[in-house]
Amino acid sequence: MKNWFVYGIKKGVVTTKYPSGKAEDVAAWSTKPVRVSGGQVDCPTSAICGGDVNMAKCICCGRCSDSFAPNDVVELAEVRMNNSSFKRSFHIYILDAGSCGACNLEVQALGNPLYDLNRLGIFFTNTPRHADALLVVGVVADAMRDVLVETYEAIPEPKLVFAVGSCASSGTLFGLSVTKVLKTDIIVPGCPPNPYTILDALIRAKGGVK
Amino acid sequence: MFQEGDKYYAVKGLDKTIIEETGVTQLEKYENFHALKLEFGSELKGTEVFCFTYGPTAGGLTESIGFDVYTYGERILRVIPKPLYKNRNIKISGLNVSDALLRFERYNAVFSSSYSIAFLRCAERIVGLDVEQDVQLLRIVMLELERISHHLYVLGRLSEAASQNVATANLFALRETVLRLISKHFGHRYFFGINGLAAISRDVDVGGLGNEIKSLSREFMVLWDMLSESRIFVDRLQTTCIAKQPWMVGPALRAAGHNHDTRESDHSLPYKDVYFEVQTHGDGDSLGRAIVRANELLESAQIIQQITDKLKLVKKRRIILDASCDGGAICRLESPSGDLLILIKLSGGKLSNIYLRSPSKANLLGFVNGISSNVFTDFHFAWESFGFWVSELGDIL
Amino acid sequence: MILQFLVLIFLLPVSASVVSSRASYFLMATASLLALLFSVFGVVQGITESAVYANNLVLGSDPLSDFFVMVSSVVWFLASVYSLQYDSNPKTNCAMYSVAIYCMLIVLLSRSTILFMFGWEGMSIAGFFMIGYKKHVKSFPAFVFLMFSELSSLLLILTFGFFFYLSGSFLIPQTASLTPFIFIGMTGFFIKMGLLPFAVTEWLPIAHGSAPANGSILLSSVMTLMGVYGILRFTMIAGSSVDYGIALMSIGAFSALFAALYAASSEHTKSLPAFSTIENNGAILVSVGAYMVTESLGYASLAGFALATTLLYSFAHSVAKSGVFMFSGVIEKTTGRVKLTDVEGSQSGFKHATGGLFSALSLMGLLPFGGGLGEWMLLETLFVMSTLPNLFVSVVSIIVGAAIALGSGASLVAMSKLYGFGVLWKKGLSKGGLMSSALFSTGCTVALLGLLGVLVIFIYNSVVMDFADYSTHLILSGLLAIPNGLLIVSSSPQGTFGFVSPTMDFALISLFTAITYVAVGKMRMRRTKVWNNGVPLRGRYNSFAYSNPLRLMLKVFYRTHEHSSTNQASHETIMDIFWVVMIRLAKLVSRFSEQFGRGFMNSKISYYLLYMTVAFAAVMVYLVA
Repeated sequence: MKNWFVYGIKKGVVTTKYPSGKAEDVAAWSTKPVRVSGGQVDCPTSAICGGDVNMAKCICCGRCSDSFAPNDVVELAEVRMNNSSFKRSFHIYILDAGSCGACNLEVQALGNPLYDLNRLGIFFTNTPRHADALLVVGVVADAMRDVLVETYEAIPEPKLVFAVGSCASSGTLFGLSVTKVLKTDIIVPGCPPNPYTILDALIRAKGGVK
Repeated sequence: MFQEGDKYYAVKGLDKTIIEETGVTQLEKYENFHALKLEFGSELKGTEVFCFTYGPTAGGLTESIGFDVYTYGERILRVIPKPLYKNRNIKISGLNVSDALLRFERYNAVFSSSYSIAFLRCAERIVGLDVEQDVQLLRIVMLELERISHHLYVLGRLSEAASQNVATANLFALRETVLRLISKHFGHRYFFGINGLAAISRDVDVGGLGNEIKSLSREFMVLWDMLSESRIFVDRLQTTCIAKQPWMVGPALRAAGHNHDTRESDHSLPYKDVYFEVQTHGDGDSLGRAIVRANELLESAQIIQQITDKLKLVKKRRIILDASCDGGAICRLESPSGDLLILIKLSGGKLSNIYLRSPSKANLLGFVNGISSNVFTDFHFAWESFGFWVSELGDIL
Repeated sequence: MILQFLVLIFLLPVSASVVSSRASYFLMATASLLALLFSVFGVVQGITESAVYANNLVLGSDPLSDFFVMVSSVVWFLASVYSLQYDSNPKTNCAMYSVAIYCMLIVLLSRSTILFMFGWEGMSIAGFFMIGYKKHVKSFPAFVFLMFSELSSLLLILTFGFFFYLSGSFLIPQTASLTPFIFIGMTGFFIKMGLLPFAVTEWLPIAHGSAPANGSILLSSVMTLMGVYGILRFTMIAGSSVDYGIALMSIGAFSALFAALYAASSEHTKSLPAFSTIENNGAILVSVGAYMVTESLGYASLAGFALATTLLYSFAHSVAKSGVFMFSGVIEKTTGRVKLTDVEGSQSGFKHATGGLFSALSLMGLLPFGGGLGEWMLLETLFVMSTLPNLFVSVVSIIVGAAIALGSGASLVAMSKLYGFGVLWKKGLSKGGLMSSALFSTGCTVALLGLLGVLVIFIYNSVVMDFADYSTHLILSGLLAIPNGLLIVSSSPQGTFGFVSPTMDFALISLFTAITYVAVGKMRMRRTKVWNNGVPLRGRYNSFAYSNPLRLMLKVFYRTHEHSSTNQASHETIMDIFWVVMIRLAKLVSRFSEQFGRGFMNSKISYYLLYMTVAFAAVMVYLVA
């Protein structure tokens, strides 16, 4: 069977129905841990406050796994501002300001057939000039600070800024968060955030599914 | 090589790691001496030659890295990479082992299990901990899963560059399936929070993993067969960026015909208890590297099947480290892009010295040398075929 | 009477050049205007005149020479106005400029072979002085030019000698039979046109010599036009045959393709247009060949159309080429550079940019400019010829058509490169001035040629009648919304083949632009920083890099050789293969002539040269009187 077309027909449709269906095969520890039993927990980023976990600081290290368990809910993003003029066409530009690579790959994974963000009207661009939103992953490394600001300024109005991943949202163990450099509109926590989480953030930021 | 105080040490050998004290003059004789310090030569002058910048941020690059490309139009005369834009300057001196482990996991997340396991092996050697066979075999499973996922990524990027869109979609879908498999069994797509000192931190059940991997590798074989028949794919990769230097590591080294795999030579992990073949190819071009990766992928799949035939459930354990351990150890591991070398010293239970040579650092000069005299359109085929990760070119001290 | 008047009036600038170059240029401009008026009148009315001075000094004008005087005088006028501000080396250059133009006029108006040769030689020698003698330039541009000019003169003398032998008089005959001698004469003419394998005679002197812009205009636009005139005159005299036509078509197509590719890879603001001239001359020769073939096969309408193509194409080319040289001249004047890769910050302004743009677009072969119309007509001719029942002819037409089209594509690269990099870095508004005005007028002329192409075709009806007995009025027609007379139609033996109307093109473009402007209103503009991957801008994509993919793809053709060393300079060289052959031949000839000279003339060469010139002049005077 050396025919791509026949291969494709046999494979069928693998795309998720999310958000109208539920999210499948979500990695447990990319979701928010909730307390299930008592006990002292040593959180390396002080993400645990009272009984609640601040996901923006959580690095999904699992050290709290004796007393906490993940709740498998993917809707974790905090959307401070959205813009529904992007509802049917949302172009995003990814900038790596100093990440470990995981967040880059999770965002890129949205392009694979299992998530397929294009069906929701979201597209990746190769240049900030064509972008509606800037997705920053990673902490802001010293040498990338100017590049980040330059990129932000190259995007025409109206625009949105996403901080994807805990490093971009709060800096965690590694440095400066994006929120301290630019006015951030959407915070997507997780280390790395599940692609569904990122997708949910994108959908809410653009004002919903068309 | 590394510097301690004012003394220089060279880490040599592929089969037996030898550390010897040396001097700068001897070090300079090595072709990749400057490359290991991320120094890649100076600007090129010539009639009509000009320099244009690619990166640090551009659509075709996954991570931020700057390139100064010297050209007079179409022909790449010289490339000077500037990989330190996203250098996070990670500080781990003075941290204890479990805190340092967090940093190692996130140094280069794509090779997370390779880094964390290599670091833990060093710590275990310093302390003198024995690791149970089950845990060791599980570690091999993690490494091989990571290898499969990464090789799928590299092949997907190569076919994307060659505009084989159906193949690309299928390869990335396959990789997503592997990641979901990993998350199902280990709780996290990139193995964060799983590895611990001589143990694992969460219960892991790998029953059924063998069959899942088997069907996956069958599907990959079909895909790879079809892709290697594409004249466009083969043509774009063949003779692109020929790199045959013997000081390279990983699939790049094996694609140049050198039969060396750290899994065979190093004994940090019980690879001698599983059967696999080292894959080589002779041409040293991008196609050779792609073929080596494809074959290694199939080998990794059958390693996993061998292990998961016997191994099913591994329970978690937590080991607390004695605060007074001192000493140094070295570990080499075959990460998906090649030999990864970590050397650490503990003093009072805390890290005092660390030296890390990542596979990307070892191979970068191979890329720089091989890409000159190629044309612009060959750039991505060359860059992606090596499987470079810029995050592991940064400093960790 | 008019003829004597013209000949005398053109002597005024020549004499004035000794006194003041500005006066000379001014007088030349006026004289050209007068010549233009008379020639237009002559072409429209279709009159033939002649004036006899002495036994062998005969002047004459017929529609053919009137047409060429018309075209030339347009160029002379524009170039003279340009020169008023441009001239860099006043005295000598101005004198040579005027002499050259005078001799060209003689060539066009002479009916005796002696007078023709006088004009021909005079033109070449004036050109030689304009190119200038540069000791340190190895390629000896002036001598190359002179050598090939003498070669063409030699061939012409041979042909004229044959005419003398046949008729016993020194008059250019009205008819002659088509013999190999005619072909020898035609070869002399296409050496002047700079066709392969003599391309080097055209590009090298312009590229490496120190001819200023107005000199280059003369050398490239008008002197080569003389070659076209000569070929057409001989065709008129001797009739045509299919074989000669096919031969001309092949030579033309071959030259066009090669020259266009060389132009596309050239970095010199002067040699790029020089190569482009060779390409255009090749296309013109193809149309002459097409005329010959179709005339011999008896297709009068096709022959008429082909001839109409030749005339329009030459007109458009001469004007557009002058525009491009003016453009290069302004760049040279303001930045002092001739290499495109070095050009930066030329004082570009509206007139400079627009004039240059129109000229470049015309040479690229784009409608609604004159060059575009000519290109269309040429390709139509070839298309129609490929449908003819004669298999050999149709196959040759297809191959020739492919070569012309490829050459046209390469000329797009060449001209966009020259124009684009020539105006790219604007520093501010232009100084205006006469140079830019002249350039602007040239641009507009070539635009008008397209827009009013129908009018031009209408005007030179008499010329085509003389040749093909076919009225160009038949080419003009109307269709639906297009008023009668604004449509140019090409017809095949089976009926109408195709049509185009540049006037309507322009009208529609203007209309839609106006509608858009009214609908959208004033444009909102904002300035923004250049995006360069997040880092400051560095390095500059230069014109060498622009054509380098071409050089690398066609390695065999260009003989591209990349020298690279591991550390330092890298560079690339290409070669003109014909020039290499020429150099080898030249070395052989020079060795031979050195030995011959040593043996035969054993005194100072310059004395012999002086003697020969004096003797030649004396003989001429004797023959004339």
